[in-house]
Amino acid sequence: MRRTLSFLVVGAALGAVPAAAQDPDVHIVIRDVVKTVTARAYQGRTRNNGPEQTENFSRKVRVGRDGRVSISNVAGDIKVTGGSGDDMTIDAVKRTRGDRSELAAVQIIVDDRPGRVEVRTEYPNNWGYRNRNIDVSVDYTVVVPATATVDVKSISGTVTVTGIQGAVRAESISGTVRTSATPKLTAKTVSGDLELVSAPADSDLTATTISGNIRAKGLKVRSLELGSVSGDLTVTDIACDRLGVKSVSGNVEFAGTLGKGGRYDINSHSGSIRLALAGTTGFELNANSFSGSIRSDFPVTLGGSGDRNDRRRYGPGRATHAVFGDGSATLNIRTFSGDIIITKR
Amino acid sequence: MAAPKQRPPIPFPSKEAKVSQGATHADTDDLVTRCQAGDVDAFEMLYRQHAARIYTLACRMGGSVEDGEDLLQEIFLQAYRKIGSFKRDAAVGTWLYRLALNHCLDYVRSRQAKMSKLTETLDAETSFEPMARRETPIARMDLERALERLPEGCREAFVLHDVEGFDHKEVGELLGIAEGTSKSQVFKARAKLRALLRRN
Amino acid sequence: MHPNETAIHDYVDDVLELRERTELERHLAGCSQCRRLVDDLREIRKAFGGLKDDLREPPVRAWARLERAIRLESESRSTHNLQGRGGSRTAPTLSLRSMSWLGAAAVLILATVVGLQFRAGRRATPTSSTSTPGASVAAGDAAQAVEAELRAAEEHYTKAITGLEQITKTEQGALDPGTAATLQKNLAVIDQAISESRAALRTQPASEPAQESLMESFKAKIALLQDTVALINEMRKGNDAGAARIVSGLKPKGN
Repeated sequence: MRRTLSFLVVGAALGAVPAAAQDPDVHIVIRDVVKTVTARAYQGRTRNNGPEQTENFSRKVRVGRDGRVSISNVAGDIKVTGGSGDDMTIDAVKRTRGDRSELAAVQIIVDDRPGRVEVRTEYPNNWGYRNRNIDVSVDYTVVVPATATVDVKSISGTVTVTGIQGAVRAESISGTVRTSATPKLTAKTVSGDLELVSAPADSDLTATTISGNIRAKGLKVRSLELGSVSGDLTVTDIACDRLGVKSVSGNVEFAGTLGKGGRYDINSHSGSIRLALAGTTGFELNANSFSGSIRSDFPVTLGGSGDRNDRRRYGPGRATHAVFGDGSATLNIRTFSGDIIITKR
Repeated sequence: MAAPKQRPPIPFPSKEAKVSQGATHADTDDLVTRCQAGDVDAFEMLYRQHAARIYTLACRMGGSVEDGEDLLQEIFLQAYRKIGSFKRDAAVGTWLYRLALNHCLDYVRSRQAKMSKLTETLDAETSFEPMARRETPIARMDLERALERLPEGCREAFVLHDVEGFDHKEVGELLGIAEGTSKSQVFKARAKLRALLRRN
Repeated sequence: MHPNETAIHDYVDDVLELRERTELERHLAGCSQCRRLVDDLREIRKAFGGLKDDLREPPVRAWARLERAIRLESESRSTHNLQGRGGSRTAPTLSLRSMSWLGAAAVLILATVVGLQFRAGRRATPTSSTSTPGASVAAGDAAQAVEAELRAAEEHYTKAITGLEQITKTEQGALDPGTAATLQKNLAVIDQAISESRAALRTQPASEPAQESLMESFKAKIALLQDTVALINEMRKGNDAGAARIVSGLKPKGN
């Protein structure tokens, strides 16, 4: 089994070094670097229907407890777990149903610098021009120090990150992103789904998608920010100080207990917003919709008799303000045309 | 209204907020009483006395003048709703300031700007320029603009420490971070500002 | 060897212990680089420290907006209160909310308004008994100011959006068809939201939900376009125009 390993110094980073060297006291910690995806992707066609060929890759690199790790992939799954110690272990499996030689052409590059390791899958530049049909995917299983900063990116594969206390950035275009026990998270997809499964108490999680569905369940966090354009957002049994949910056409569902003093801002243009509230926490409700209906199990009067004359007198648009119990939690629910439905769970 | 569980009480800033000139203690007392009774004209007076201070803080913490204006609105609306619970154990200006700071911190922590500031590759020409900037004097504008360009995280710590005058321990309590983290955030902000202001 | 970052900043902040301070000053005497850093940091501290009392006046329209919101709230409170005096437009008294602060038993307080935050049109009616002539004029002006502000914001958003659209249109080839299709489809969703909000505002220019919807939709559109630009940049990095040809019909995992 041939192993392809190469060290590549990324050209862009070289440019940045002299400037930093002039100013030894300036520490710029890069948290939000948009990582380069230097790989191409392809579609396997009927030609590549043979038995699956695989090639294994294994590497252990020292990165340090405060190290920064980035992994970028095209097709295939990435699984990152937090562990103890200072080392990062990378296990990867290249797969193809085509010719075995294609495996060698796809390179796993480990760019290893003090305190920083970059792993990426590189496909050859010239494959497209030859119009070949290639189907090579690489699955990564990586263990990094639990306190490292992690940046993972994939185009079509699933990204799973577990148990990382440092800042985590997890992205996939069409694959699913799944995280648990990641207190500082920014997760993003285009069409893939997002699943936030568990998080420690002081977490700040952000997950955004364009058309994927987001599911956040069983979390106890400080703040949770979710956004989508057309994907649906489901939040179940979470405890948080601050929830922000936004969608354009995606539907929003929230089920669980409100936190005392918590603030919940949910906003959708045409998607419906459903809240199923359990427990007895008091809340102050500000619900507001241009043309959607507002329904509530909790006693709420929508302005007088609701007859046409009333509406003309008070102007169009529906707004509800109500206080239940001690009003400690704040619910700001707004839509343009989506319906707002609040029920007792 | 109970504050969120994890929020410790806000300490007094190391530099006390100025109350407007000419307002005696008795005047302010009376004003507060009238506000608590629902007197909107009295509330307007209170607004006139303290809005600039609150607006300035909101702009800096929020990172832009539009954010500042929205926050100003929300803060004073909240103040109107909650003034009934104001216990007069401190100056009303301090109470307002604490309310404002709380609100700004909430906003900053959860801001949706994360959705819109997704790419560093966006050209400056295509970014959205807020309107009111033309109205401010140049020298201060350079400082304010530099502030706005600080990344979130270190900006709030910097505003609280270097501008508002809280010490690192207080900043830590306000932002829910360790004192050491507050230090490193402030140092990082200073380094960035040094680079930003140098170019001008 | 240069002193570490913390020491330098602590020095500038005057919190270094005497011994460390002396050591550092000794180093500064012979190191121009660190001296420059210290000078710069001191200037920064001075400039920004002075900023605290350098106050910014809020825009004139801010009070008008706030006042409308407050009057709306206080009216709704006085028209629905537990004593059953519902419907009478009395001046706002001690609100029920502040009563509950006094430790009254938890009560279910209903204050519901069917209406807009900006009721400029209604306020302008001279026969309205609760509005003074001054207030209605101010409210009318303020409503116009709000609309002008909205139009200006629209202009700025549209400009930013057009710039971004130009980039994405010319460079779309860099994206694979699947991703490009998803982005296009969702852009259309947002565009629909924008046109619905605009249509709503044409019939009800003062509607706050409609105004908010328009602004939120603009923000969503900008975010989506920025995402698209970022994706394009990623796909093209280290590569040439051939990226799109290579990337064809990328199949998401599991489909």
